[in-house]
Amino acid sequence: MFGSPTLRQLAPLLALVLGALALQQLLPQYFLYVGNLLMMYVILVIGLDLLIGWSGQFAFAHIAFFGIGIYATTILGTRYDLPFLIAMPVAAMLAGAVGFLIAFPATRLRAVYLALATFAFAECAQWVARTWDSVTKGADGLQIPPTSILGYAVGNDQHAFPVVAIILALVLAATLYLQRSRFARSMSAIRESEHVASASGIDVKRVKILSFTLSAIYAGVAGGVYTLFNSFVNPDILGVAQLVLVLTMLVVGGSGSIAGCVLGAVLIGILPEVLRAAPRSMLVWQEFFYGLILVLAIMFMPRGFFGAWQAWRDRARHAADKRDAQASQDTRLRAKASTEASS
Amino acid sequence: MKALATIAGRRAVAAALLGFATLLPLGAQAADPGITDNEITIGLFGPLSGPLIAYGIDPLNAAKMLYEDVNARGGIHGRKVKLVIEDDKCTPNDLVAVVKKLTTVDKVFILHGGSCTAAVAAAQEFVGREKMPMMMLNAAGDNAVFPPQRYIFGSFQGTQRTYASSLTEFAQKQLKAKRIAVIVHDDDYGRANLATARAVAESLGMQVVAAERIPPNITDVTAPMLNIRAAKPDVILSGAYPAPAVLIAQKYGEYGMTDIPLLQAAQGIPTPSVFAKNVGNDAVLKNFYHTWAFNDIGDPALKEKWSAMYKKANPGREPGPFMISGAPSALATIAALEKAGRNVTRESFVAAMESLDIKPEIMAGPIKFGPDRRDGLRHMLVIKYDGKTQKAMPGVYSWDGKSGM
Repeated sequence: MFGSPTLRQLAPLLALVLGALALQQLLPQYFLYVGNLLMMYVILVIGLDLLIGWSGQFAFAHIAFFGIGIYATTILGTRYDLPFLIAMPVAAMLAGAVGFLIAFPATRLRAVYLALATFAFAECAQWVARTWDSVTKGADGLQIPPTSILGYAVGNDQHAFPVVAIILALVLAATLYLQRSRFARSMSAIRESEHVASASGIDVKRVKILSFTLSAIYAGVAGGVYTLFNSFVNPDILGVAQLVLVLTMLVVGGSGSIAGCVLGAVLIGILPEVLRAAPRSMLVWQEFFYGLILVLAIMFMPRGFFGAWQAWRDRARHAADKRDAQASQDTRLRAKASTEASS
Repeated sequence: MKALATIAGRRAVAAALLGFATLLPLGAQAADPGITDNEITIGLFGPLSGPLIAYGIDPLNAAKMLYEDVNARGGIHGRKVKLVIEDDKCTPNDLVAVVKKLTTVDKVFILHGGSCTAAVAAAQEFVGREKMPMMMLNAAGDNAVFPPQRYIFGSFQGTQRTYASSLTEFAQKQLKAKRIAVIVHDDDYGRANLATARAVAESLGMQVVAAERIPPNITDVTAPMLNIRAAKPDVILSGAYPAPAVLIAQKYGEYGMTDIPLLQAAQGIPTPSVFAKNVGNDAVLKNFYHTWAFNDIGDPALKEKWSAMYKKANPGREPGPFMISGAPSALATIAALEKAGRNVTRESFVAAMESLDIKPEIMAGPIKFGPDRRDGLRHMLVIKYDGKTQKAMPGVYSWDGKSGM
């Protein structure tokens, strides 16, 4: 799985963009809004997976970088009149820069200590968003005005849908290339054993810092995407509920794979909308079902839905190979027996 | 064709054409989605799951009860109200999804919902763009109605400005206070509360001797309460949420400050009995007051009437403390639909809401809007609560619409 991704792997990304352009005209705004939300979550979850699934770093500051992406894109656009195509990359880079700075102390920590330290950073980020009134408008929240991209006005979900699809396609393509890089192998090596990775000549600290930075950039991009189809942000978006949601998507979908991230984001992201069809008396059970899904996923599918599907597919292939081998052995034996009988 | 040849036949055709012509204006006004000759569809929503469910389920049931009552009486101008009910969980993402679903998929005529201000604020741009009237169910925070947005009407139980102004006025008029201490949160609620308390105190010749801002998730209020004690106020105004309000009351008792009246805004004491139980000592509450937007506490017969109505509409369910907060927005919506007439459109409904001035018997004051006003209630009662009984204090207190802006 090294080198460039194949055309077969990149083709679905083109289909995603073309599909978005077609559906943009057909679906009501509600479905387009849900679609935009799911695509944003995919970017966010993949970013978190770089750190947790690929590098094995249990860091929980991801939502803070997401918030930086939202606030920075909005503020750069409103205060400094920067167009979205500049504001969003700058915001993503800013999130990456903060991630880079956080990575230095964070790389000295492991396991629960790393989780706690990064969680504390996320709490601090929410506090800053709540109290830095002159910039973030504090708890009142910040209105996000409609934007335009090269003259294309992005004023509602319909306009935003193909743009979000294009950004997602670019992010997925970048991730496919990244997955095949030497850097990705280094991250995997660190996830399996830092000592072995170090003994193999991998600069563990450098790779960890880079994965922190990359992960933060992905979250910053997701934050920029958020501003395309939302008109308001307040510090609640940086709360622990969002973090738990994104973590659940990662765990349920399956960490360590792009397909798992997509699956988790879509399954968990669409669940509240599906549950709208449930009878009113059942609505109060939603949290219970979320918890149950998470517990069952961890107990019976530690590698998530995608991991479970892969395991099932491998078992099926193995069984088929075994059957084929048995069949060919039987054929050989029968042929041998008939040869012996005829002689 | 034979029928057309006769005079009776021609008359019948002329009558049919005339009838069709009289229906034309109806066809023209039915351009807005969600309204037919027999039905008006309203999208009703609130938190029906999640941690904030208590703010939504009973108020939503109360609003539903009032719409069903109207239907039982023949509807509004011959149209029955049809409800599409959704759960917004009180989160911005969910509320925006609900508003978009109700508008673009269910195609309701108007929206009625929202129990949390930040979530409502997230939908402001969409409802403005779609020109979709939205009545807040029981969300009352200031930044959903200030500055006013054409299509959003809310704060049917008063804003923070109304709470702070009413408590300050009560402190001056009834308690003869000259020095007040204010303890509020470091968020939009707190900011509006403090600014208004300062402005009203100044206009009434009072002095704010301490102003403490605390985070909503504070777990220890020792320092701010010591600061307040050191300032020697005549009264303490609190705009805290339920958990910090309990901490404040406990510390207030612990530091022997119970001779100083403690005035609490309504959001800190959603269920008085639970509040008293959490404070843990009724003696602490000997000088405790809180705001209330409804006449039910001062009028047991009225309270019983609403409670019985609710239980009849929702068999097997006791009304919670927030139940009544769902009533005023539904009463106002029904009144505006009636006022707008049979040929109601979304725009004429907004015009009817804008000129609404009603005084339901359950409310402490009139529900009133205007071209530049989107907060419904500016009058408030003050209730004395000793841990066991609630007693409405004399007078109705209000906000002038300017102080603290």
